[in-house]
Amino acid sequence: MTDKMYQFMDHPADIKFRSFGSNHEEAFSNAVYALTDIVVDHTTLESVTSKQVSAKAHTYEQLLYDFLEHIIILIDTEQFLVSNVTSISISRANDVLTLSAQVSGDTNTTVTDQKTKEPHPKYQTQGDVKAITYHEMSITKGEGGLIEVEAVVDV
Amino acid sequence: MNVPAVLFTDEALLSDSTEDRSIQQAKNVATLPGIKKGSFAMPDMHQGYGFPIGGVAAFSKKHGIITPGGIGFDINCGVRLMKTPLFHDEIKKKVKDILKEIVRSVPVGIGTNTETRLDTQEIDTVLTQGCRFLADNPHVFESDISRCEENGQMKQADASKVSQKAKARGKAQLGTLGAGNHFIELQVVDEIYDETTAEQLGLKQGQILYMIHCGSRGLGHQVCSDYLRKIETAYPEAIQQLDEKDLMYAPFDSKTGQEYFSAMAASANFAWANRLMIAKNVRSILAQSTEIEPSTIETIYDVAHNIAKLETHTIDNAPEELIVHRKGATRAFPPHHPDIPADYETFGQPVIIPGSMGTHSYLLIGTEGSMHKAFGSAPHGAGRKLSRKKAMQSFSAQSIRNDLETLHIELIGDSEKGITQEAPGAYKDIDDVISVTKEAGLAKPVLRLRPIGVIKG
Repeated sequence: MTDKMYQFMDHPADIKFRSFGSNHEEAFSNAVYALTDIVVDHTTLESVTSKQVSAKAHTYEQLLYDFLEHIIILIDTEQFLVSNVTSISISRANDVLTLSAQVSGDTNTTVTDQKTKEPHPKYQTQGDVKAITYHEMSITKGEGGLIEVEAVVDV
Repeated sequence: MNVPAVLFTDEALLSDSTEDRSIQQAKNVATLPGIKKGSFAMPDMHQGYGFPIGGVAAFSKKHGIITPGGIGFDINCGVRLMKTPLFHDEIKKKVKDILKEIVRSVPVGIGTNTETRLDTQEIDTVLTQGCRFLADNPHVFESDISRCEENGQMKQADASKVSQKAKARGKAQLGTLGAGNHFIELQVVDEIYDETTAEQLGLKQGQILYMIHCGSRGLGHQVCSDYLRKIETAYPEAIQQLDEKDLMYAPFDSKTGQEYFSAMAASANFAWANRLMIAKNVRSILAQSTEIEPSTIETIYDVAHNIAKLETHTIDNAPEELIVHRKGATRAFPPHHPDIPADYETFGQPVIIPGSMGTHSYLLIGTEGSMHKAFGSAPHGAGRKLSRKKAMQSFSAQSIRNDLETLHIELIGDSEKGITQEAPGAYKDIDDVISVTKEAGLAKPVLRLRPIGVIKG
């Protein structure tokens, strides 16, 4: 499992994160973990099912936006939360960047408490993500060759 | 042509604004094509995306623009206020049980509504009809619809301009609260400032009201994302001139501009139906637990605070149709305005301004003065002054729970992070915002509300 390299930064109204990686694939994977961590403590998630996610764009910024939007749509439409990006590749052909990833995780189904018999979600969520934004988004190569991604999530 | 940036503020609120980019954002908005009169910022202004939150700007319908930055991701995030015939003493001991019952029927956080999963036709109907979608429900009454901005249905809506992705996000979210700063609050009328208007609204000291704050959920967020991409593709040169990409725009009178406006209107309709569905569910629970008739629980009003509207205003002594953007700002129309409910004609449009968690909320009415000063607009809340990260560092969920307990406010909200991010100390002083609103003549306070129970999204 990749080391989850990301941190949260200060932002006046929403949530800004910075993720790192030795290449774009790693930095983008860590961006997914940062995004997921806004919703749920990712260390509590089981890897039960897998999904395929792909994105196409002309720039890395657009690619990141598209990729993270797919993850948000999985949360909203399927209650699916990513515990691990099991594989990811980004390739360029002519003017187009293509991302293909396999993500594993679990669905936040409703379960019944054994003692109280009250229904509750399987995972305790701690927030919701409305959208990824282009606000203050940057994807750069830092000192030491690490790829650094910064982006703001509207919560 | 540039217009002035006009800030409605006082020294204390202004010093908060110098800590972020909100003033620069108000200045940037002032340079947008077709802008009329001014780029206005309400007393609760703080940094947003392109527009400051608390930003109001109106553009020429023919020569102006429409911008998602002036509307926001949460299209028609807004507030609905409901009144009951109950008084505090009657339900004091039942508040916790009532809140627990509400949480069972109104999904919060990322939860979806498994009972009301809309099919393809139904979601298109909600997008087109807004509140009218619920008109046949036995616990929905005509005044729930008529006492709502736009009667809960913008006629410019076009469901075909909303993407399948957006509909997929929204289909299981009707009747859900979401998270962040969304909430349902049980409140009591705490102090009355305008006895005459309070009486006309049927409101007395100690009376129980409830307030719902939420928006268009994933559907609206997706519509905003979709159209940011379309606008970027259609008008890339305009973006080069902008200080912030988030201020990207399309001419209002263009194919992209018109499609975005009609998709935005459809999303706004979804949000109005959403708030009405939640209000109806709370009505049913309250009626059952206190053994009163559901019809005795009435809507006071429902306002949007992230939206663009076609409105007629006076420019150079002549009426002109404008596309008015309110981003974190509330419409505040005066008495006798044709767009307000007939039963409110003599005193004006109710303006609902919620405070942050555990603090006062206010009910005001629109004034003639506001029409001239800021296109009939008022603030929408307290406005953040601390980032979410700083709030989490500065406050503990337990201390917030303790403070609320001291104030006899029941809180239901399981997320420790969610509670600390919404700490009252992270927001500006709502009483200060209201005081400036009143002094500036943007709206007139009618009464103050105190929370007795909060469900945090």
